[in-house]
Amino acid sequence: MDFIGRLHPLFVHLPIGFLVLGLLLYWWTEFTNDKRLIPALKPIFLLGTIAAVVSIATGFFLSWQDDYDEDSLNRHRNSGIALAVLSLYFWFLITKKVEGRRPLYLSFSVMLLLVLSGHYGASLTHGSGFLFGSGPDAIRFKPLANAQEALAYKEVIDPILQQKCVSCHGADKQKGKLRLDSEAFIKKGGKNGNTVAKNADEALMLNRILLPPDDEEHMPPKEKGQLTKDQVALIDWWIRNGANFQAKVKEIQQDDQIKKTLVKLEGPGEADVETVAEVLPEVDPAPAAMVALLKKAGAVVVPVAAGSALLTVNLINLTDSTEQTWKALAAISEQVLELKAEGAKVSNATMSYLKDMKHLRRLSLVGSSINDSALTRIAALTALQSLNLRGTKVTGTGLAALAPLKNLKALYLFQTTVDSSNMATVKTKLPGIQLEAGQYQVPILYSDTTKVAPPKKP
Amino acid sequence: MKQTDKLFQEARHRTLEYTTRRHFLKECRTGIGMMALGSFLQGCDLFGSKKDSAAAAFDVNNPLIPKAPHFPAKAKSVIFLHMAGAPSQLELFDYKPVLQKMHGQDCPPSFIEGKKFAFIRGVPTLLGPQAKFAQYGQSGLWLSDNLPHFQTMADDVSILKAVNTDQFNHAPAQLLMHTGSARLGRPSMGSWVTYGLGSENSNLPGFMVLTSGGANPDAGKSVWGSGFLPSVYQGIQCRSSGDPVLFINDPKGMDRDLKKASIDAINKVNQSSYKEFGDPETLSRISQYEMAFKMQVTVPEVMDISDEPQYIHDMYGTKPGKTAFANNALLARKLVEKGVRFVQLFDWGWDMHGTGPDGSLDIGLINKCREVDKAMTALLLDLKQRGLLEETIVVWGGEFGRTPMQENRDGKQNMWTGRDHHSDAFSMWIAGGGIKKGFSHGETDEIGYNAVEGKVSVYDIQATILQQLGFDHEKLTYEFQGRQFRLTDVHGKQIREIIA
Repeated sequence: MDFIGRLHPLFVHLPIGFLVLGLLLYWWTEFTNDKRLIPALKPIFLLGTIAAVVSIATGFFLSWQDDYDEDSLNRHRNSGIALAVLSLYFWFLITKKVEGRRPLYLSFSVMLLLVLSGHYGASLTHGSGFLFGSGPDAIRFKPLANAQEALAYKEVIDPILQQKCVSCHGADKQKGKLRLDSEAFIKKGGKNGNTVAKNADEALMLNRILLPPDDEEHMPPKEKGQLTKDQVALIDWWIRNGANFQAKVKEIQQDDQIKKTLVKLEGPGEADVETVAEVLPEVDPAPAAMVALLKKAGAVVVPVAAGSALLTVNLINLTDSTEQTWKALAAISEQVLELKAEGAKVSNATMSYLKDMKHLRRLSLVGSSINDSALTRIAALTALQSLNLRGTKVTGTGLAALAPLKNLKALYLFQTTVDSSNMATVKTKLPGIQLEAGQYQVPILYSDTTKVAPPKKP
Repeated sequence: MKQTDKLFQEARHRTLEYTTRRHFLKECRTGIGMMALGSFLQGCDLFGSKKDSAAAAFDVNNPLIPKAPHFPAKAKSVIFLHMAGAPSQLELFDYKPVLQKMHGQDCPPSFIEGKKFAFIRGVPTLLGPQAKFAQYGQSGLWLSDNLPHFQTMADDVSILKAVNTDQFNHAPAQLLMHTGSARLGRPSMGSWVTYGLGSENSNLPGFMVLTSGGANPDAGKSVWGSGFLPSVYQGIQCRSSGDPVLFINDPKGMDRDLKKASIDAINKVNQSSYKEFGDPETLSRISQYEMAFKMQVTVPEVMDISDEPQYIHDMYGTKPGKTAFANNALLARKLVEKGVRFVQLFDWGWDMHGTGPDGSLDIGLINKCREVDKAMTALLLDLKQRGLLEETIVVWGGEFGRTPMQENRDGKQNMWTGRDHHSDAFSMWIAGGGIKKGFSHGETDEIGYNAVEGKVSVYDIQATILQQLGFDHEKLTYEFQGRQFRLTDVHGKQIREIIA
């Protein structure tokens, strides 16, 4: 019995297809006087009518096993039956080759009923506001201004239930005779027992939610939208603490875990927003002649992304480090976002060509011959976020010059004179910057040099 | 004689037939029409594929020229540490106290019904964790005492605990991990990356491979092959002792000028052959000759670890001249430092079935861990102190995981503790290159059999790596046999949760 009912969602789509096709062909023949297609109409509408009758039959089986809202169900059923009757009548008119206005008007009625019954049916399964986006799927959580001051049921729990539960347990449909759209209905529970209870283990709602997803009793059903981990935690917390419908969040007992979850209700923090979209500066394209000149000198010059005017430059293959090359690099200062100028070819003198790189975010000068006097030049690169000075002659005292770099996050100082002895002083001069002096050691453990031997055979 | 005349006549007749006016007009009707249609369609750019694909930027004359990714990259290079044979997640990263309690019990039938295993037959018993676990670092990640050095890195890595693959045999699973397909013929991840980004260092290949553990991975060299991409993008395997590449040195009596002259001559011949036939593989060959010539100088230099200072050797536990994972780890750092995009390390011998002491969880696995633990820890720290970790993704893992059950080959319990191949859930870790630090993503059920939360597929890992390198994995494509192919085929979703 149940099985036949579950075939309803399959069969309902057949009359839709048949009838729409039939109506389109009929209108085509009417408005173009192209009579060749008329013989096709008869079988199409007969099939459409049969499919409609089968859909109605299966629909009755389905309506008995689920608890739908009486009004919505009636609308769907009546419009569906009317559709079947009218399409049968239309088939009759076609078969009898009735001419005139009557079949035309009837065809419009059939189309209207088709749309209506389809819409009512969809409202039953997807919730009544589905089509225009006001249904449960469209509910978006507005961040709370202050989660602790919010009402626990009204502002925290109810939105979750609205989004994930009410389409089957609400005004339109009451599966298991249960409604979860207001306090009174939640307290009343469903046909299987209490939704919320003083003793959390008896609270059916919580039990069903916590069952593994493969369990038949698990809620929401496997194929429907599932609760997120945070949502489960919130419902769990609310029910275990007595399912209080009036209390504010702060009045209900909280542990550290739930506190963190509650904070998330206030929306993404500032740090999160920053990572979502990294804003890159807009610049004009670099002068092509200069880029070509740099490339000829062996430099790698590539846009940071396809279509971007910003460039990442690497001098790893540089074969020609004459003044001309450095001037070309200076000419594209505005466009350089990342620069690797490593090795002996880079010196204090060449640093003056970098001073206008106002968008430069990452700079690596590993192994170059620069010393403290170059640091004042680097301090002018205000956009700098990461600076690698490994293997250069900079000193702890000289690094204080970098203090104006407010965007600097990481500074690499391995293989310089900065080590554990003077690290602390550098740190006080450059607060908030992650300093990396390296010199890591991995201890030699007994296990590094030995192997576990298999036991000897007796 | 008459016979042959007839044949010749017929042949001439046939040729003439093809140039008759009637034939020409017939051809016009369809041929020129189709040509016109083709050019219309091209103008329409029906599938929107041309302008977005990196293929548009593919320059056959200079295939390794550095190229821009789709969007600004978080990472510049990748080091993939593949423990071939598949290490057991239950002895390393995935702590399962309940499995310990259920040790020795028969496996519940729900886990084995309808399942196929490589070796397990009948009803196996559950095998508790064969290692001690504790929480480490501020992040409190659970790690086992098999990795005493790596424990100190808990606050630098992201562990994926619910990785899922659909292959339970070594070769196909390795192919899937690296080429996105369990069957042969697809390009590997490193090939895709070099195809998309080119190589920064014009004297070194963009994609290099090092192996240790005594054998190549079961899937053979296809796991670093270029598939249908031009072969210039395939991984270059180097040996970590002896000559890094066989026959890299010039033979006696051949000096470098003579070598250069002969390569130039060969390339000239190849150039004219390309002009005649237009086969892009000819260009591949030309650039490979040129690269090989440059590599004669650069590769021996970069592959020589003996000039590294002693404290670096102490850190990694390297012994110059030996083939070992530690040496390869140090080489990986050197290569990335020199601008190599993709370094793939394979360490063979992690297949602990319990068929012998070397293949057991309480002897063989511990010894394998001792071979890699110190070196992989040193690699992370060394990259970190050089400022390379922020732009290098380091990935560690096998091709699949191991069962929570003791293997019973042919229905008889194995002599030693061991686990069978398991594809439903296993652990990997990722670090650097804009990946979260000290983070664990995904959970398995109480015995570590299935993923219950944060399940990620092999494709998701590939998509995430490409994403960090600046690619939309759905748009890094190459047209082959009439359609656009990509690494993740029709799968893959980047793992947002682990992105910092």
